Amino acid sequence: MSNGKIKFMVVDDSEVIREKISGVLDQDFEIVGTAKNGVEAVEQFKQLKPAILTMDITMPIMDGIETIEAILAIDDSVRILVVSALADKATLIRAMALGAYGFVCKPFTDYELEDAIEHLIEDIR
Amino acid sequence: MATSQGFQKDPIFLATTGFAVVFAIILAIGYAMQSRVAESGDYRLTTNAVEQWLSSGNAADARAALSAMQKGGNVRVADKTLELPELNKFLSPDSFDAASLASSLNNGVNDDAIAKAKQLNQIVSAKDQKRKSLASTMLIVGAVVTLLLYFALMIPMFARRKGEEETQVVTKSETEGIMNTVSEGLFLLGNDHQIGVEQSASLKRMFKLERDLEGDFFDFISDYVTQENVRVAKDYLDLLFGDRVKEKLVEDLNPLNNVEISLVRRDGQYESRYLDFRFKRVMVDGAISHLLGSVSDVTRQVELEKQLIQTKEEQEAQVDLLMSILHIDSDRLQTFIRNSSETLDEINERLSERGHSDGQIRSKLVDVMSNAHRLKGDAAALGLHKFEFGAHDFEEELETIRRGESSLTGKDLLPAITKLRTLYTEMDSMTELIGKFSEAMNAKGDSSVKFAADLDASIGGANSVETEDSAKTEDASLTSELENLDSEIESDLDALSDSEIVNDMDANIESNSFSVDMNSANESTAENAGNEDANDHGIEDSIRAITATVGQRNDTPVELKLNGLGAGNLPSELVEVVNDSLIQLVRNSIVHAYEGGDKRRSMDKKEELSIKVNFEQADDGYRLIYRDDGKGLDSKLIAEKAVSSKLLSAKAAEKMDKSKIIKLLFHPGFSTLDEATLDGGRGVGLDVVLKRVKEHNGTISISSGRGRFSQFTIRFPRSN
Repeated sequence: MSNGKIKFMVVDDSEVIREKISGVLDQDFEIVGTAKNGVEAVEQFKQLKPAILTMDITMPIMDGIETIEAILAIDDSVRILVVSALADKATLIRAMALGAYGFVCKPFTDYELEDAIEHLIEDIR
Repeated sequence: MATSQGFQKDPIFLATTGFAVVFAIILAIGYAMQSRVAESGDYRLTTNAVEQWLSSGNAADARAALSAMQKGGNVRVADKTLELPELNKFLSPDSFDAASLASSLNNGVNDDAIAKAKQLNQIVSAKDQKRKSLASTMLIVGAVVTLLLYFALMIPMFARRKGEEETQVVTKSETEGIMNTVSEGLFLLGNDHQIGVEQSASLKRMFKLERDLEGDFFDFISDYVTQENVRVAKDYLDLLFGDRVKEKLVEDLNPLNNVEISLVRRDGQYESRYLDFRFKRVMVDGAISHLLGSVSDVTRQVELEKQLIQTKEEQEAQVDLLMSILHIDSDRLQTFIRNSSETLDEINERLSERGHSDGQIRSKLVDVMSNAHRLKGDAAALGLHKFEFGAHDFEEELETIRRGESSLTGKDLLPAITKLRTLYTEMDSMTELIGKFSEAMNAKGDSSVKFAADLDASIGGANSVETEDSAKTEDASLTSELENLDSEIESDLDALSDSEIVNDMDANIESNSFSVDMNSANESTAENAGNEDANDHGIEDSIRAITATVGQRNDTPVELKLNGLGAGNLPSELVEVVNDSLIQLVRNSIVHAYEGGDKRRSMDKKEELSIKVNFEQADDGYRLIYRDDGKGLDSKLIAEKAVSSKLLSAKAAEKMDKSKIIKLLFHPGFSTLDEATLDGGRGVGLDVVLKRVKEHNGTISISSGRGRFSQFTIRFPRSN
C-alpha cells in the first residue's frame, strides 16, 4: 500500500460483473488489475500482489478452487472474497476452508458488496 | 458471584483472611505475653517457696538459698536460679533486699525473715496477678474485637451474598421463563459437536420429541435431513469454529437454511416441514467457546412463497388466455364456446352413465375420444392453446385407459372424469373472462357482440398508417371532410381578381392609415394591453396590441391598417368572432407569411409586413377582408407538411388538386412550422376560426398570389 490505497484485484469471466464490482469501490482502493480466468489471475497476482481480490468460482480454464489454492500458495496473506452464485454450497464451503476470507452471493446489490468489503478489511483499515 | 469476580476478589475470602491476620496478631501478642507471664510465674514460685521453707523451718534449703544469696545475690530454689538483678527489675520500683533477709536469717531473727519473705511474696504475687489479668484482658478484648470485626464485615457480606443469591434465583427463573417460552429452538454446540444441556423447550417440540436433545448434533440431524446436507453442514460448522473467517461473510453458505425435514406424526403419517438453522459464535474472553444454534420453523413462509409463485403463474396464464381471446373474431369465439360446452356436456353424460360391460365402455371411450379430438382441433384452430393442451391431456388419458389389458369397469373412467373437470374449469374461466371484458366494453357504449371485431379494427387501425389500405381509409375520411368544407369555402388561386380588391381596400383606408412601428409599439400597447373589452372601438386597440406583441416576439415589423372596425360599423354579435379571427390571421401572417427584411427588399417590398383589414356592410350581410403582402400560400409546402404530419399519404397528396390542398389549412392538427412556437405551429388556429365562422353561418374565401399576398374574405349573413 505505497500510496495508502488498498490494492484490489477483480477476477471474473463476466465483464459486466467486473465493471460492477469496480464501480462499488471508493477511493480507499486502487484497482491494480482484473482477470477473466484462473490462469490470468495467478499471473496477475504474482506481478501485482493485491491485498484483496474478488473471485468467481465458476470460471473457464482453471476453476476457482484451484486458483485459490495457487494464489494462497504464493502469498497466504491475501484476502479473497468469493463472489459466486449459490449453486453448490459444498464447493464454496471448501473454498472457505482452503483459505478464502468471505463470500458474497450473486446476484448482489452494490450495498451488499460494499458491506462485505467493509467486513473484509475491518481490521486492516 | 465468586466465580465471576475471581477467587481472590471474593469478599468473604478477604474478610476471612483479614480475620485470620488479626487472629495471628493476637496469637503473637499472646505469645509475647506468655513469656512475661511465665517469668512472673517463676518468680512467684520462688518467692512462695522461700516463704514456705522459711515458715516451715526448712533449714537446709534456707541455708542453701542463703549461701547463694550471699555469694552472688541469686536465690536458688529447686533447680531454678533466681537472679537478683532480674528480680529487682521485676519488683521495681520495689526491690528485694536479699542481704537484709540473709542477715535476718543469719541472726536467727526468723520472724523478721518470714515477714520479709511474706512481703516479697505478696509483691511478686501481686505483680504476677497483675500480669496474668492483663494478659487475659488483652486476650478477651482481642477476641471480642476480632469477633466484632468479623461480624461487622461478614454480616453485610452475607446479606449481600444472600441478596445475590436471590437475584440469581430470580435471574434463573427469568432465564427459565425465556427458555420455556421462546419459539425458536435454542441450543449450544461445542467444539466436539455435542449438544449442550441448556436448551429451549421448543427445540424438542420442533422435532416432535418428548425429551431434550443430546449427543452429537450431526448424528441427531442425520435422522431428518439428507446425508449430503449433513456432510456440508459439518464443513460449514467447522468453518465457524475456526476463527479465521468472519461470521457475516459466510452467512449465505449455511446449508441448513430452509431445509426440508420429514417428521412422523402421532398418527403415523409423515409430515414435511421446513426448518431454518442459524449458527452464531459465542465468544468468551475473546475466544470462540461455543456456537449458538437457533432453529425456526419456516414452513409457513416457504408455503406462502410457493403460493405466491403459483398465483403469479395463474395470473400470467390468465393474461395469456385473454391475449389469445382478443385475436379471435367474436362470432367464431361465441360459436366455439357454444359448441364446446355442448360437447363437454355430451362427454360428461356418456362418461357418467352407469353399469356397462367392458365392451360398451370401450365403445364409449372411442366416441368420447373423437369428441375430444374435435374439441382439440377447434381450440387449436382458434389459437386457444391452453384449452387445446387440456383437450389433448384428456385424449391421452382416455387412450391410456383404453389400452388397459384387463376388463374395464366404470371405476376406470374416474381419472378421465377428473380431467374433464379441468376442461370445464377452463371453459368457465374463458367465459368469465369474456363476460368481464364485454361488460367493460359495454360501459363504453359498444355492444358486446361487436367487441372483438371493434378491438381488432382499432388495434389494427392505430398501428398501420403506412399500409395502403389504412392510408386509403384515412385519405377517404379527410377528403370527405374537406368536401364538407367545400360548400362553405370558395377557393380562387388566380391572381386576376386581386387588383380589384387591392384597389378597393386602398381607396377605403387611405384616410385612416396607421403604421405600427416596432419601438412605439411598446409604449402604445402598454396602455392598451389591459383593455380586452372589445365593445368600444376597443377591438381596434386589441388588434393593434396583439399585432405589436406578436410582431415583437417574432422580430417582425408590421404595418397594420384597420378600417371599419369601430363600434358603429361592427355589429355587436360579430364582435367576438371578428376579433378572434383577426387575431388568428394576424398571428399566421406574422409567423408564416413574413419572408424576412432582406428577402423583401430584394423583392422591392417594404421591410414591414403590410396587413390590411377592412370590415364593410354588403347587400347580403357583412364582409371582413384580411390581406397580408407576405409570401402567399404555397400549396406544395402545405401538401408536404400534411404528409409529414401523417394527415395524408404521399400518394393522396400527389393526386389532390391545389384548391383542396389549401383547404388543409383549416384541418385541425395542421401546421407549416416544424416546431410549435408560442404563436405558430400546432395547427390550432384556422380550424377554430372556421368553426366560429360556421357558428355564425359565415363563409371563408381564400385568395393568394405566390410571393405576393394572402387574402381571407369572411362573409356573414345578416341576422334578421
